[in-house]
Amino acid sequence: MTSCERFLAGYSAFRDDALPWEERVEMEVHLDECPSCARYDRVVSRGADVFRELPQLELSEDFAARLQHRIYTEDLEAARARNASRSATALATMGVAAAIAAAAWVPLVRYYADGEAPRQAAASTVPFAARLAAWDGPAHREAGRVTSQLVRLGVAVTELPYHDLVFKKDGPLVATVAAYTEGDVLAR
Amino acid sequence: MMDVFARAPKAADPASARSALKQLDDSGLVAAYLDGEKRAFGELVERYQTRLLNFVYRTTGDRERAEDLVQETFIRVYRHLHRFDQSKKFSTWIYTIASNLAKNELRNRSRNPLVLFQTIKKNWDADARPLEWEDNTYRPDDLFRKRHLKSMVENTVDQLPEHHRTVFILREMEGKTYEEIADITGANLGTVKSRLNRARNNFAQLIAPLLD
Ligand SMILES: [Zn+2]
Repeated sequence: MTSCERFLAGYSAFRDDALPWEERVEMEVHLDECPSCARYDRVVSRGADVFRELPQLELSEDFAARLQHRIYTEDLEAARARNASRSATALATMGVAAAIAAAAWVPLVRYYADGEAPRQAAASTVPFAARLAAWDGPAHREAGRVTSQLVRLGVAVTELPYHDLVFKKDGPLVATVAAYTEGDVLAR
Repeated sequence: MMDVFARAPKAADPASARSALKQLDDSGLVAAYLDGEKRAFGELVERYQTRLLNFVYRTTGDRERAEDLVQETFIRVYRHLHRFDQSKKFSTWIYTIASNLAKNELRNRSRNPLVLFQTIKKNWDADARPLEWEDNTYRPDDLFRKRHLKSMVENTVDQLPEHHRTVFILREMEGKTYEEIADITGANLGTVKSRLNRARNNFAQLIAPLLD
């Protein structure tokens, strides 16, 4: 092996400071003496610098809302599974979902339009979407108010754990309020 | 009237609870979540979402899909967090999930990359070799180089084969150790080292005409 071949074979470890001291010194000496390997080192270093400085992508605005919706669905599935094992008859009435998507969150609106949620609850919650969109205070307070409306309708509401998962005080309102029934109230 | 959200926070003030979570390291957040503090998951999301987006984007080269794959990563974390071995590093685990999803994505689609550097492709896995000295025939002029350097570097990384690209990104952009890269990619340490050396060599071959 020529000294250049040795340098190139050990270059990665050299760059990452992962060589024993003696080998490191040997590499440094070669770097000093060999224009070709010095250029190699310069190209990798500068190229990697440019790569690191590439502009970072930002998440799209609805990322948090979409994630929250998916987590909500996960929870709902889990709740369904729990209920199914608790009682066979519960299965028929479980999974009644009521949720409010703030700020024109289309996927969830479509979710209702598909008829997966009971009409009563969906109808009663739709006007709140507009209110939520304009709301810039604590999301959980408005959420509580909406929940109260659902309770008045006779929906047994159970808290889900992520109601403030991605609430941002100064950013756009992305909170999703979600609740599901455990009883059969809406099925009556 | 029932306000289900009134009984959620453990701390009296949600804002102070959130800032308390921000003080925790990853393993503290995982422990808090498993202990019933559900907001800890939100903090983990905050902490990793942009990093993962960029990692997956650099690996797959597809911005739209990158976001979907990051969503999927978090869903899998959410689903399996209770089974996560807390003696392990959370960041390694979440990068492993993201990396596997990215790899599957690449496997499932036929990439049709812009072929800029055909000559080098046959030699991806050859031993590291020195750079050719400048060939003025193909050397871009200064203005072109300055204007296009960033996108050329981006394209260059995109040209690397997947098993090189992933280790290159994990090391150069994410600053992962060899051991972490081995865990994330499922390769052994020796393989990681040789892939990284080859990736850097190929990167140098591709990028050299633009850089000096
Ligand atoms: Zn040399």
